[in-house]
Amino acid sequence: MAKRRILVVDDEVGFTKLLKLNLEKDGQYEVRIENDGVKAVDSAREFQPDLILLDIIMPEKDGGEVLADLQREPSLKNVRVLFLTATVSIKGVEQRDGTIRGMPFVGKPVEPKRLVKRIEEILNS
Amino acid sequence: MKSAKQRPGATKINVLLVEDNAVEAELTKVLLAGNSLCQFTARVAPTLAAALEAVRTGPVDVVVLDLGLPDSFGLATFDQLQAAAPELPVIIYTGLGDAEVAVEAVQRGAQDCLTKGQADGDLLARAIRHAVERQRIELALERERDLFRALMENIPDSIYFKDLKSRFLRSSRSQTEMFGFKNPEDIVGKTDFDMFKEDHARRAFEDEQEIIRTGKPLVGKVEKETLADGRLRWALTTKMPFRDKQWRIIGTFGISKNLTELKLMEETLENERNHLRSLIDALPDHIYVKDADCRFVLCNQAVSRFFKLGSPEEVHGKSDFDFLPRRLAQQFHEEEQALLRGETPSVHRETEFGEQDGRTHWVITTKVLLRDGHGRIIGLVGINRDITERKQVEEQLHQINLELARSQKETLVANAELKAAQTRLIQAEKLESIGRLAAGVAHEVKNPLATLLMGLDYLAEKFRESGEDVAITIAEMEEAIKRADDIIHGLLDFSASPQLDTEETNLNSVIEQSLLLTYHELRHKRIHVIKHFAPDLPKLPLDRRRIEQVFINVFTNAIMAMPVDGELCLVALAQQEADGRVKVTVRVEDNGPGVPAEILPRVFDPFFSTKPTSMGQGLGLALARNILDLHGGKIEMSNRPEGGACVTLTLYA
Repeated sequence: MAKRRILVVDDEVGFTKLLKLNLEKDGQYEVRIENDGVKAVDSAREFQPDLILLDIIMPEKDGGEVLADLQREPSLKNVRVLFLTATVSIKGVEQRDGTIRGMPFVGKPVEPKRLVKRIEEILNS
Repeated sequence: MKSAKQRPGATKINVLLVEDNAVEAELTKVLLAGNSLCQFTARVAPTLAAALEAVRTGPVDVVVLDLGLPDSFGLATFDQLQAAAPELPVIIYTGLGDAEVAVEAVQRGAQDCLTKGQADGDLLARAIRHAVERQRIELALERERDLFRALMENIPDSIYFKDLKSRFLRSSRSQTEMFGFKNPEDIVGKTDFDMFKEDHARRAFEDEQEIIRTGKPLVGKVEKETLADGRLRWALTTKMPFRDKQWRIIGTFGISKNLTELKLMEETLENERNHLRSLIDALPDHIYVKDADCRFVLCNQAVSRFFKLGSPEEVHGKSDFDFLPRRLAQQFHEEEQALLRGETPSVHRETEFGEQDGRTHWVITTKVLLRDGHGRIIGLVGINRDITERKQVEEQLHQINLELARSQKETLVANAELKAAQTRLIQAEKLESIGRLAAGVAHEVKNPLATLLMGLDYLAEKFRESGEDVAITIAEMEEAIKRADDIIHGLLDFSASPQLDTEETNLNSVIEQSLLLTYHELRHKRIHVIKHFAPDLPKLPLDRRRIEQVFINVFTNAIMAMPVDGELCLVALAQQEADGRVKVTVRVEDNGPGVPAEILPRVFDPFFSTKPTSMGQGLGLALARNILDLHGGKIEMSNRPEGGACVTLTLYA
């Protein structure tokens, strides 16, 4: 089975490195990192990921804007997105309908095992 | 004249003979004794002194006086005797040569004079008897004159006599002076036309001519006269026909009493009475007099108007029962009877006075006893003042006062609400700034925590075989990261949006739901829950989810403080506040160790906790207080006297 492609868009450089290590260590996924929100859509178009782990609060371009751009891009329109965020409004969001802009999310900090479980759920749905 | 002799029982005439000549005296006595006309008893006085003595002792009816006496002579003798007895008739009986003196004496009042030797018995007797008679008549006449004069001179009423042409014959002094004359004689011959203005004189003249023509008197006529000089005079006049012995009318006479002062007094009195009456009638107050049976004697126009009578006179003999509703009339009757019995004075009493013109009338009544000249109670005088207007104003004032009190209360409530809203606003602002801070901090802290957790997990894989110490170290580090994350979460909860999502909520159901959510903790410690919820709690405007959070936090706090098999007692009740708001109080009582007094004031401070760090972040009660503040309520903690702590939550409907 081919490796699933995961694009991580997050300005936290250290976090993205360690996340890549953790996700790739079992050989399940091919992970690409994009630390600049502005370049996220380009990277995605080029990488054509199965799933994008998208941070929300980023300098210059936040996760919401990135998602909007992604959805305007025909080749990326149907890409799955999992918000991965340290943003504070999560709890409020959870109580509304459990999604952000219609996309699922996971709050930081998160244990790698739990994150993998969520990723699998999304990819298999 | 034979009358003296013929009259049976006629007394003898006592004659005093004053005569110094004894022979002469004896002769005279003989003459008298021999007369055929009447009987005499004669005494003799030889001197003037003896005569005076005899006159003094009496009885003497007549004196026969010789002027030449041993102790007196001539006219002096007569003068002295007359001075001693002025009413005694005296006959001068003297010698021939004394004729001139005798005549003089007669002029001075002697009745007669006889010359000695010329008179026989009958002549002497007749002279003596005539003298006595004449003297008697003169005296009687004089008395009559005196009486008439006294009347005419002294009576203040006008008395007059007029002839057939109404000319004055006589006029009393009072009338004379009234007419401005000095002597009554000055008026004789004058008429009323000289004394009065034409119109009165004419009327008086016609009256008198009528009397003369008909012979009918005019009695007690009140006349208003204007005197010639313009003075006004009121008189009560009686005029009679003046007749002679033959009963022929020869004029008129009359008496006229001056009534001017009386009339003026009467006029003054009448004027005063009219003024008083006008005043009483002009007064808007009801004024009336009632007799001892409470029947109206009189009233003023205000009363007759109120009773819709034509005039105040029509009220006479009627009673309140003729005009007022029976209940009211009965009440007045009883009051007045009590007053008349002297039981209760009735002064300034406010009474409902029935309906008129579609509105209830109110009066102040004052009733006082009316007594006659002997002090006996004969009725009562009453004054009613209509105070309907005042009553209405009072009622309006009362309504305005009520309205004021109501709006004051509303203002108080509004003030309280405003204050609560302000407090909430301040609290919300505070929370919002804390929230912004917390959000920033949380984001900045959570990212490194995420990186740490990622790293640790990776390391744990790598060093799985490196021994227990490494595993423990990594586990502790992961635990530390979780705790830090929990604190961030607590902080975010604590500073969550100050916007409340309120709806009218049944507090009991919120409490029940919170108990359900702490079911595991309760069960774990086998806590016994006792509930005393008032059945009539009003619905409260609550953010249900947050108030649930409050109770969960409070319950959790209490459960942690209690030993196994503890007892949690919940009491909820409602009460009305002074400002009208309904206050609902919930007490959460545990039977734990209570809270040390020194830390009681700090239990609601954020991050203050007495529990081990692993059991909480010290934000539960602080969060509860925030939520209560946002609801305008209160949360307090105290120690129960019987042991354990009590958290009191207060909310307002």
